[in-house]
Amino acid sequence: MGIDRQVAIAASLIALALIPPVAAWLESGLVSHLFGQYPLLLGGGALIGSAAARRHPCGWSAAPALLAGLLALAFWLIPRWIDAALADTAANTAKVISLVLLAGLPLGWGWQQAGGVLRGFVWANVASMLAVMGWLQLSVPSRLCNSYLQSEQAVYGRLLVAAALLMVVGAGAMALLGFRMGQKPKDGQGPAPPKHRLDRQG
Amino acid sequence: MIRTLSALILVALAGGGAIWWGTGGGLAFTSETQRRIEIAAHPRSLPAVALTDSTGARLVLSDYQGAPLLMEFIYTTCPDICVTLGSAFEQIDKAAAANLRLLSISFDPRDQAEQLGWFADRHGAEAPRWRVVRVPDPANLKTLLQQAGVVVVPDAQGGFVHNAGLYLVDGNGRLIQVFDPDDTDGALKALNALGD
Repeated sequence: MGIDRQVAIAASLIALALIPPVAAWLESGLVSHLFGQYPLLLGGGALIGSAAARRHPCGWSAAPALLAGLLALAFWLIPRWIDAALADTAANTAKVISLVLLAGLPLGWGWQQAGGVLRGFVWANVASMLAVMGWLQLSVPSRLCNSYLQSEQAVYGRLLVAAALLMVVGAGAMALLGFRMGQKPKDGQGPAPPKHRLDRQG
Repeated sequence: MIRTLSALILVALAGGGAIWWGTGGGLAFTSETQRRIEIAAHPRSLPAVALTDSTGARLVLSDYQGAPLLMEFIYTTCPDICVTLGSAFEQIDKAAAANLRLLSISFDPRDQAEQLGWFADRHGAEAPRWRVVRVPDPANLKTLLQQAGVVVVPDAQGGFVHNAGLYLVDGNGRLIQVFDPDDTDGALKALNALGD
């Protein structure tokens, strides 16, 4: 995909998540908020990040960028801050900016330049994080978010566990079929050039 | 390698610090916990809103100043948690000192004197010790809920989901502590401490 096209898609994903009626609808439910609006904002940021990395590669920064993105995402998954984003416009603005620029963008930037080992490490960690979070949502008897219903929390918890399973099964299937995590999906000509690869740089 | 490592450490410190700050030092992952910590640390004055009780009598929330008051927020057609709240008040009604006042406040605009009366009868609430009231003015109701930190979400069955609790107000009309609906022991202990 061309870099310009990638940025255009990113901009439309972010815009879609923020159109007032769409945003209101997405935020009205826990599941649509976290499995609808969050991925749109994260995906938009990630596409911009990966486009930037293709234009100005900087291999050593892949691991710190991935860590930064995951921590920023973890922050906005804390129930208290999900509630805060719903109750307060300033907090919601902070959420949108962080999900795009502090979570999505570094994740795209880092993933684009990460080698196979780093990608596998991140993949495994995210899968286990999602599984633990899902289990937490399902095992806590009370509501974690004051703004949402308990029934939605149960669906959300199940979806998190399902996403974790899908990530594990997906990675397993890819390994069995001979794909490598470090391989770029489209060119199919082996791993990214060594100068962009963290595991080669050590 | 060194660049990568130092950047990793910096990111871990900044991100970990943000999460530490965002959870009040790992204590408050939910806004409910956070709300209770904030109220206990900084008691809140409550607005002097006008109330109407199950007999139609009018009063103002500030009339209660001078003695400890325990409040709960309910709606009369609530099938589960408000029944727990009502029973918690029944227990406290029997066990607490004579100067304590109890107030069940409905946030459902559909609750009129008649419905408030049902709730009062069901739980044995008798004025002036325990009144079941509504806030006739919607703007007043909103201010009161906001100040107490009560979030009410309509559910699919025409009812509401709300963060239930027992709200302890001191003699100066300040909300000083929030307890879980089933924590009658904690509420009684705090009430006795206020009475001393």
